[in-house]
Amino acid sequence: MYGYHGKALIVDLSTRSHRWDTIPEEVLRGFIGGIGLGTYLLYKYCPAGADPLGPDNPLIFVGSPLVGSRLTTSSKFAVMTKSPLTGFIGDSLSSSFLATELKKTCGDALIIVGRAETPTLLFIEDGVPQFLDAADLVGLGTFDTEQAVKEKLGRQTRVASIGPAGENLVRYASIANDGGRQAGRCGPGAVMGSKNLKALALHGSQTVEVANPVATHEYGVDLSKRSLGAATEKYRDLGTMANVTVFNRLGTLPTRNFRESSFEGAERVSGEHLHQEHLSKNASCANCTIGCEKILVTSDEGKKTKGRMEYESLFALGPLCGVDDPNTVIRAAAICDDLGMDTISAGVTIAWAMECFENGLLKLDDTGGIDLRFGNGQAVLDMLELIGHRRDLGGLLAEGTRMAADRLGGGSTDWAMHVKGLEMPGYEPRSLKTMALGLAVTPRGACHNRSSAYEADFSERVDRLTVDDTRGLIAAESEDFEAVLDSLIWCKFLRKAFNDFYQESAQVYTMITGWDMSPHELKQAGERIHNLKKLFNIREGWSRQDDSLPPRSLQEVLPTGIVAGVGLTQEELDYMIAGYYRARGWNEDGTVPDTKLSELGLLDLLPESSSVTISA
Amino acid sequence: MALTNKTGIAIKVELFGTPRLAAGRREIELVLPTEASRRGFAEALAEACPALVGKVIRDDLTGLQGGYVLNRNGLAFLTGELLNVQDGDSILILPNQAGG
Repeated sequence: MYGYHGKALIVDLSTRSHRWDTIPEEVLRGFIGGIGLGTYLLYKYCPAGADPLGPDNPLIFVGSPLVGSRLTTSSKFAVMTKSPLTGFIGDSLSSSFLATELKKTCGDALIIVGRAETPTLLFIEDGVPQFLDAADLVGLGTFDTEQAVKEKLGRQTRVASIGPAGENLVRYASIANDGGRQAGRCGPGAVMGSKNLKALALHGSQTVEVANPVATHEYGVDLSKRSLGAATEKYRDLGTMANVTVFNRLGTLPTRNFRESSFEGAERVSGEHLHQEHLSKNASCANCTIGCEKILVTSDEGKKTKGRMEYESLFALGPLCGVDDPNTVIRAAAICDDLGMDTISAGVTIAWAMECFENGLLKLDDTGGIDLRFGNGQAVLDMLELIGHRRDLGGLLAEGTRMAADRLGGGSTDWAMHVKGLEMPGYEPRSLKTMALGLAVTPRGACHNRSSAYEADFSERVDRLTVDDTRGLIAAESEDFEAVLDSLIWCKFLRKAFNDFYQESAQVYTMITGWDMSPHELKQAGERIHNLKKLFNIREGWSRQDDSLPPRSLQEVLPTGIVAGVGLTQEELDYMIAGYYRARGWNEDGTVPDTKLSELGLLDLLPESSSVTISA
Repeated sequence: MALTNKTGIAIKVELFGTPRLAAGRREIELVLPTEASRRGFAEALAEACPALVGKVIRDDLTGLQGGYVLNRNGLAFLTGELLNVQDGDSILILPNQAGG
């Protein structure tokens, strides 16, 4: 077999045992790898109705056929689990050396089930797990944890770990690897914490051959050249931080908990300003020629802090909280990375709390004396620490906006900015109508990565301020495109470098696996993967009302900027959702008919689900 | 609205990201002919800000490099060869790599 191992390693933390399961060829072809294969494995190994923080919920690390090929941006892996934030599918991507070590060590995927009795460091060397005591790592941040594990097990060991946020079951805790990269969304760090798994260390030597190494190399050289051209210039120069000034000008920069969509302090936290005044260096993942990572450093009198910065962290910890001090935002992002916490969910949850404070639902007694008004940067920093350690009000905010608002009440659900429990990314839905649909329907909740519907809004294809009957198909096709991208796995920032994405990707798949793959077949795999995500959610209790947007997005018009007066009604959203279901070939209530399952081969490929326990 | 002494349509070009860093400024004022084309726009912009040639404007001045799109007043992404601008309009030069 080329490109794949054809097997997955399953480790049971409860019984301290392991086994290998075979992954059939038709499953590999049908779900590719990454998010796609991970969705299949999650459906199979997560029992229906499992408690996300219980031992039955699997935590799955998945590689891809491209890992190890040295093609640019291909060193990526997916983390899959049932999300403790949403109760639905939880998937995240991360990058760099851990991806290659995963494939050298654990086959095509590592499936972790059960719960260790005490804090554990799981060290897997060439497929053989050791369950090491991690008591000395408890309480350490992700950077110190990785460092300590490497000192113990060797510099070549690759590490994924949680920080205090994961240990304390913050529902949006992340898993960090390779010096601060994060599998951030949907709370996989909380699942890892619930298993008493402080860190995963991998070291291996198993290799997988590529079917056509000469053609793969030649293609790789050409793709690398293209990756250095105009198609990725934005990411190479300023990274995604470049979005701040553009979004602000277009009235799509969520500000003060989505009350507004332009921010008077945007220039101070803009990519341009940060690049000129705070850039320490550019960095990149393993096997990446783009190098989008911007390492920033503070410049004020306070404690010198270095950290990665990207648009989503910037919007959530800056404008969304009314903060325009770049040093504060750099510190806030660095705190999140070290605590092991998703910056988007953290920022959105704090912004929700700020609005509660300003509306009198939270008082100084509740905040421990913190003046939690919009614009108070120190309050953001203080709250992040409280959340990561679940202290005081941080215990409530660690639950995420949906659960926190349900608990606090007082009408605060109206400004709890989430979809399906996952906090909103930095795209204002009222002034990006196609993206509004994408945010409402995407299975993992409000997400800008599994749906790229915004691309239409930022182009001449549609009028982004109105709705029409084209949006359903646009949103569906963008999800299928992302599903393929996230399964092969290519970096999203490479997407404009392809001349014909499906044609080239199908050729690459054939070069690597030796299996014929047509562009049509690959595109259909994207649709199959997306449908299986939906089936997972339906199994876990999804209903039509879960495909929606927060009340604020549907009841208030935008008050400022060039989009002042623009809103989005429930009727407009329902109209687009109905069009989306039609475009997907689904029933009017959003369920998936058997005819669609049959068309996609899912009736044959759909796995039976069951819990996994391996006898010691 | 007269931004310069030249006759024609006075517009403002707004720069973001890489173009702003290359130009060293956020805005550039231009005067374009009534039926301004993308090529005419590129030529006028190159004259006003030579630092953008190569990085943002094609070396032969026939248009912008492939990584950029034009937007009028923050509301309409432009298609076709003619810009269809009016006096006082803003033209935004934006990366075609939306979002991220």
